[in-house]
Amino acid sequence: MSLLTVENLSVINSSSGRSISILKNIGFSLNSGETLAVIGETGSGKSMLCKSIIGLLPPGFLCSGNIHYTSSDNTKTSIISAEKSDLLNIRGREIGMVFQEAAASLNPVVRCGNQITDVLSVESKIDKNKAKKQARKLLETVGLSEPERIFHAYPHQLSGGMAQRVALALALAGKPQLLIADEPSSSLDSITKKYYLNLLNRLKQENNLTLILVTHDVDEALSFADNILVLYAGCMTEYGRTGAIKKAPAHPYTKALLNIARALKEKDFPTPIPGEISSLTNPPSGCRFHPRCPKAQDICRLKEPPSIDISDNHSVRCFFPAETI
Amino acid sequence: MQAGTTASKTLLQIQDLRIVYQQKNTFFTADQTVHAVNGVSFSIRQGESFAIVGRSGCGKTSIAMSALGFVKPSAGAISFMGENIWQLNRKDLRQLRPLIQPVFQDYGNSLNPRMTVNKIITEALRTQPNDRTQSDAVIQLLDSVGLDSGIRLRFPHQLSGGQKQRINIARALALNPKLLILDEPVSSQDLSAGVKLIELLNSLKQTYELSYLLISHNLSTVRLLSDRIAIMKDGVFIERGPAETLLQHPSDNYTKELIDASNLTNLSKTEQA
Amino acid sequence: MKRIVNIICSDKSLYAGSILIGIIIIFSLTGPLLSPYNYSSQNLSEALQSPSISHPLGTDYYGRDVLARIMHGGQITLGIALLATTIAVLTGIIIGLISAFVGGWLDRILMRLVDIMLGFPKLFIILLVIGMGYSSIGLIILFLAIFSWMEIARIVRSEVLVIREQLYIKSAEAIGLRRRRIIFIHILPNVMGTIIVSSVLLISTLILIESSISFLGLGVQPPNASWGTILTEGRIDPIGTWWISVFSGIFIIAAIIGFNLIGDGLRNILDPKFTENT
Repeated sequence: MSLLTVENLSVINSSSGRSISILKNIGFSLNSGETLAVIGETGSGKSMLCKSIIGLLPPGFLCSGNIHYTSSDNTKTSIISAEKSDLLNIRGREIGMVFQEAAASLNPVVRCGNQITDVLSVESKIDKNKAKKQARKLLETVGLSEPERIFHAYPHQLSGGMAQRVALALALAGKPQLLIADEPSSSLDSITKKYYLNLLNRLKQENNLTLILVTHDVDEALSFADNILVLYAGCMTEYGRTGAIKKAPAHPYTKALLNIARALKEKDFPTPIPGEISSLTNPPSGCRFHPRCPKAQDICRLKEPPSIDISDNHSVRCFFPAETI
Repeated sequence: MQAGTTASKTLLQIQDLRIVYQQKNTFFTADQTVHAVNGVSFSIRQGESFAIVGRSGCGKTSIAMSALGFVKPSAGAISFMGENIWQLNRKDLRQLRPLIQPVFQDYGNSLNPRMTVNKIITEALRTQPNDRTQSDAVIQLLDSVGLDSGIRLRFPHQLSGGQKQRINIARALALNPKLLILDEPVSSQDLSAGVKLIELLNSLKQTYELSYLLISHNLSTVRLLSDRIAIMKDGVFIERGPAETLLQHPSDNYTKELIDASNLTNLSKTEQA
Repeated sequence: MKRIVNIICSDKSLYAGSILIGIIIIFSLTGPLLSPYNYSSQNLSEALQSPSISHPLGTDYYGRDVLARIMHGGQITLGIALLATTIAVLTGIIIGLISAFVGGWLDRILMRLVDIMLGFPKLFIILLVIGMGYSSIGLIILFLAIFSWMEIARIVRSEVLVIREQLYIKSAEAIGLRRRRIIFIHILPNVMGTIIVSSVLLISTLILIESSISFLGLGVQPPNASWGTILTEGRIDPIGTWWISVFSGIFIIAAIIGFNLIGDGLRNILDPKFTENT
């Protein structure tokens, strides 16, 4: 069953007087219990996609298209046209979010345990003592070895990995169906990162969570997700099942990213993609990737590529997609 | 790299370095003594690239700050080209400093927000005997890190992350340094940008005969940049050796865990912080 | 010059404040040259006239033209405030820098001095000394300066302590620059924004204090005039001779509002990220 459907989502930033297209024609659907990884470089619009889904775009950002979310009681909500009060019911309770700067997303003057207790007592309408007990349990669930100490600690007393876990516990306190994690591991060291991803994996299975994982680490996406969405400068370049993309990436950009990740693992020297990511304020004409694309022809400069379905659940926006095997 | 480096002379020598921080008591907590570095010795030869790899909080950054003259060691010696830098007087230290240049992990914050790129680099050129006109020198330095000269009049907040990082490197190069201390040079970069930066650093090393002291937690990128690697945990080196040997035949369990962590394909049951 | 105009126009409150203060300054400086009356020449036959064509703001007890006195008073009031602010700000910067860079016991002594000075009943001291008969404009400036450098010193010290730990200062140290250069070229410009904003706000505070002292009859002495002196001349019969106090009061309020608006505007503009658009 599809939990989240995004159709033709476009986001325009008109706050600085002229309109800048931040996201263009994004479409995907996410089934309950699945994981979607959104990959792309800095400035590709990954965070904006998360914010649109949770209905938290900053003022001056205009959203068009459709985002349909199916709540646990089977009511459908269109995030874009929903009332503020409906969105408040969905945020936290239905869709949880973990931010990249976990330590900064926690309230600096409230002890970690109390922050979780507050959410629990409001969300589940239980008394303080019961909520405290549950909060301790939640800290244990996210794999913190000293839940009692963390419960009484202030956010600044935690290491990066611990703060990230507390933020996760806080997001889980609302018992969401869908969890959006915006680059949760990018500031963690490699061992902590691996622990964290394992934890996410377990929690996902235990709580039947649906997960959107935003990352710029291709390896992380490949090893973790069921589906992958590749963003480049606000455009959806490729979308498909992880296995299919891993085996046969169709878009030259996806291919280049996978090659770098593979080379790093096989201890070769990787070949970087030439040039820098094109700016959103002044995007190139046609396909936004064409200035860096080895396969670019005249048509790529003139026209925007259409979305081509390569197989079931695997689509690409490119005039010259790689042959599938 | 093997034959060449054994013949060349030692640039940086660190002997039994110990760094202890006194955490002053606040209203709530008692005084604490933190042993950040607990007896570390190593040396870096001219043209060599040495990496210290470990998790955050293992003490690797303290070593770097100490070698830069910012954090006073509680015991041990840090000699650069034969001079113990913590025994030099202020003037001698100031003259030695240009030769050891840092490129900090937080590259955004290491550029003065009120200076243009041009000003940032000319400040570094001030300490050098100038044989060229300054604007030529700035353009040439920007070119050597792969940046267009048009960027000169911009302020740091108008630059992308990759550009800021390159300005940091250009400023370091302006001083004709012998040793660059690179703190997590690629970890906050995108994959492709990171690879490009590694290529740049490797070619600069050749062109300018630089030595690198790398500080990182990511073995898969460190491997592409270093000749020798030391694995650090809780203030001491637990294993060290030539980069490829160490990665292919790690003897310590912790090293194995670090190598394993850079490979995410086998997500397993370990998840304890 | 064009750039300065651009910057002023880019922020509404800075724009409004600059125009207000600009008008007051031009009015005070050029007015006395154009006016047929001298601020101190008495004409008892024309005493206490209400506003008319020949005396737009009326005359006081000695038949002096109030408009001419307010124009002259503007020079005195603004002059005292600006000069005292300059001395206070320079003192504050120097003491703040010494405190931050020398540190140790000197830092502790200087900061305790700041605490003591802030706790001093400054109006009382000023009244005491001036009340003993030593009143002059120079003395007033000196007093205002002595009792207002502390805020600036505190701001400079705390900002420098923060900025000194920033990586761009570490980088400047690693370059091998001299300490003097790091302080004045690398650190101070980053503190300057805050200093300028609080200096502008200090000007308006000092205008108010100077007016209060003069109102109490202990500041600028007649026949010389500051706005506070003029204000006090109307207090004998505030209803019957309303024009004397009302017009001088309006100028005091306008100047304070003007400087506060400029301060607010500068606060927005002096963020380095702002320069992008201008």
